[in-house]
Amino acid sequence: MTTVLETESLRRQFGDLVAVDDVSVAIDSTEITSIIGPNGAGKTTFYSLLTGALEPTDGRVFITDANNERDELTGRPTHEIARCGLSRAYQINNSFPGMSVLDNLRVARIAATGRSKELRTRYRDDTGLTESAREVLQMMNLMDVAETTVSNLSHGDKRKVEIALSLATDPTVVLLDEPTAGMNPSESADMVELIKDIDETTETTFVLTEHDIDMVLDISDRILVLHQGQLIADGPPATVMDDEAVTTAYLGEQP
Amino acid sequence: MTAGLPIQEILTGLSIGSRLFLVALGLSLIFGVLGVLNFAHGAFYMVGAYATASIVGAAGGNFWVAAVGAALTVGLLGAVVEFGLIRRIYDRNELDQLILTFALVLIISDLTRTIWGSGTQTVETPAAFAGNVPVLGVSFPAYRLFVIVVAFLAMGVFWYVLTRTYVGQLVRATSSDRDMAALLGVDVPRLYTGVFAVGSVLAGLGGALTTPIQSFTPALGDQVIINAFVVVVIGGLGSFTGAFVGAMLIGLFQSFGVLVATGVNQLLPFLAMILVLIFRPEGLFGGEEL
Amino acid sequence: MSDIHPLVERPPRSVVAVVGVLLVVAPLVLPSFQTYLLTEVLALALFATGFNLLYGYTGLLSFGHAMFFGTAGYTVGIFMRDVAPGLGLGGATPLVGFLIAGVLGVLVAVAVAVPVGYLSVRLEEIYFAMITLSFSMALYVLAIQNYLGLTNGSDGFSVILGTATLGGFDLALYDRVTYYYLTLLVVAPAMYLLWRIVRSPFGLVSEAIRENAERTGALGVGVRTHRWAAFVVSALFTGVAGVLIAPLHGSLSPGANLHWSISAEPVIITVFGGPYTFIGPTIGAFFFEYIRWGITQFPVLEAHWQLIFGTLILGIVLFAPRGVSGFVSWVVSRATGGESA
Repeated sequence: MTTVLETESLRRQFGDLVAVDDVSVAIDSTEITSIIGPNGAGKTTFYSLLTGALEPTDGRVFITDANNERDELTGRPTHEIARCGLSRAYQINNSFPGMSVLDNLRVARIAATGRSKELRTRYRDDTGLTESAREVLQMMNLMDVAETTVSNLSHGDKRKVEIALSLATDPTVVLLDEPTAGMNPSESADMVELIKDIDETTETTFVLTEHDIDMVLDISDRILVLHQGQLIADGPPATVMDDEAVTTAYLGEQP
Repeated sequence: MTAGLPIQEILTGLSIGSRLFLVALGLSLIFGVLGVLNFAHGAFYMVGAYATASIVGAAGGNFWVAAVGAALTVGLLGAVVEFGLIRRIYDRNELDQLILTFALVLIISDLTRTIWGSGTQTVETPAAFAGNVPVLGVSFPAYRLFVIVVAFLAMGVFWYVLTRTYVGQLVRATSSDRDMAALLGVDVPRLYTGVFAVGSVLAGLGGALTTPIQSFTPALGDQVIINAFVVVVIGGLGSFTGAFVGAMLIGLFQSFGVLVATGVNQLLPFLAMILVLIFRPEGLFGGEEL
Repeated sequence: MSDIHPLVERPPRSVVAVVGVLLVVAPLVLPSFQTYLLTEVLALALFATGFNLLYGYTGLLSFGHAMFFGTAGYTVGIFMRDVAPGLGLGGATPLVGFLIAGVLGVLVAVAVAVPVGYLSVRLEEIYFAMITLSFSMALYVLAIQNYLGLTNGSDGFSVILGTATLGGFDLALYDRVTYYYLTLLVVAPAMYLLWRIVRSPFGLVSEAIRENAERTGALGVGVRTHRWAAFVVSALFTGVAGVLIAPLHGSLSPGANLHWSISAEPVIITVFGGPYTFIGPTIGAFFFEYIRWGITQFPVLEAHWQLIFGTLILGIVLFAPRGVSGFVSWVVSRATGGESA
């Protein structure tokens, strides 16, 4: 087991409400990990704690990069955490709507290569930059809409751009937040295949949150279950699905 | 220096602050509920002043009729502006809104000059408050004291209406979540027009009440809006307590600043605004409801 | 913004060349006063384009750009008045002195921008507009109060460049044609530099920040630092414009150089021309200057210039929010059929 991302007793409180309660996990770089749980279980808050969008009330976060160097991420600003290799795709599309798909990815590539202060070159004419952006487009099957303005895309394509952005920085770990949200079954199936493909062909480790249990069972090597901020199950799909605590958590929520 | 000197300065400061408070309250109200920063609020204040001057002449010298008439006129102007223009840009970004209201400043200033000319206007102090009265050991103009009382009254009335009445509840609900309020049956467009009109009435009233104290020209609007911005930023955009405290603070700065050196009274408000924006950008009372 | 038609976003070289030739030839055919106007257009175009680097490209509306424009201008004026005569440059003083003053003016604008920018970029939107407004008004008040005895208060003082004598050759800098070419020699490369900045990775990231600052940070960009850099660069080019305007107007005063109504000029110009193209502010400068001049030809209109400008801005905000260049782009898109590239 090669741990790539770990948390130690991560906790986040909002006044009296404990959104994330003493969560300790170690994400394995060889697995696709899914985080599930009823609504309000704390999944998105957990993500925000990892990426630095929220500061933990307590606990620590660490990432280990390809060179086996362990970096502490706790309390650091978002952009630093991103540069350490932790990337995120949002549940609600959070890209650059007025710009073309290709330009969106150019931004990500510029950020990834630390060139955001560069004044000398012209980004349009930079073949290296454009090529690396197009590679991501290729990977996500977005070649047809490269020059389309993002705000004019279909929902499915916008989701793909969202995920493309999170992958374009060559991250060590990418956190996908409900990647198939709002997609029809065929688009969802495509997305699942895509994730599996990219997982196999790149070094990136995938973590995802999802509501679609069938998809989760299909794609995951490991499942974490959150309920009311606490980690109540952690293991391979078969084990987790048999776990009584998990069934109670979900059944307890059903009308 | 006699013992009475600080009192004089304090009262003067409160008097300046009181006039500023009315226009700042209106500005803060409009921003808090509608989310629009109305650059033209100073121009509204100015129209209030000019309307007062005109109505006084027409109404045979009755200041009170003129002041009320002027305030209502500006309220009407506000309602028309909201209905015809502001309404179209609610979903635009704040910068577009700022530019649109800035365009209104230009238009209103020009029309004011056209209707009333560029000369200096004055209005006489109403007879009921002419002369000075003894207050806390100093002799202070009765009218200025009256204006201070009006400001405190306005604050009280607003606080009461917003916290204790149904209308006030509607306003607070809509300002915190417009979509939810609409879903709950609040006629949001009408509420918005109403709030904008009330905010304008306040500006017009402020302008009306200022006329016996200072002579004015069409440059009045520009002067006031900058000070009003300073007040609401320091006090907190959307906070009425903040508008009150901010206005009084600026009034006191201006009153005491003159003692230190000329020009300090003009500089202090900007320095205060900078400090607040750096250390507490939401304002002294920002982030608190009201 | 990618839905601006490519012809408008990157005008073909032939168009640029033609414009260039026209600009070079203009003063030889235009009456003297028109040359003066055109000089002012060039300086205003630089002012507005520099401003728009921050607004249209990075998404920060500054209401205080007069502070860079004015301090640069005042530096030139003060230097030419107090320091230049004592430099022992002899006949070359008007030119060399002015060049030194110009560089100093820009440096002063940058020196102001660094701390002001550092403090201001911690805020967004309205608050950013407010803090930039307060900084520039504070400087305005200081100028009116004749702080340090330099500015001569609200009266201001004059800035006159005389004739420079360089090795027997006379250069009358106060001559409108001469000064026009001097301005063109400064503005053209400055605009080219701004163009390169906008087409650079730095420029694209600025646009990303405008579109979605949070996501840009999440991709690993230090957003606050980037904004600060954009702020300082914008101030630099604004300073150049301020340096050029001072001798053109022949005088400096707080009201004409530091007041918020001067900060409003690049805002108006950019709104006219359109903030989302590079040439938008330049087009706006042309419109602004010639409408302003056109109005002065008719006393009836001149008395109502505020009404006219106000109505125009109103119209644009309501019906053509991308300004003239946005409108042109729309027309071109329609004419060439369907969605732009």
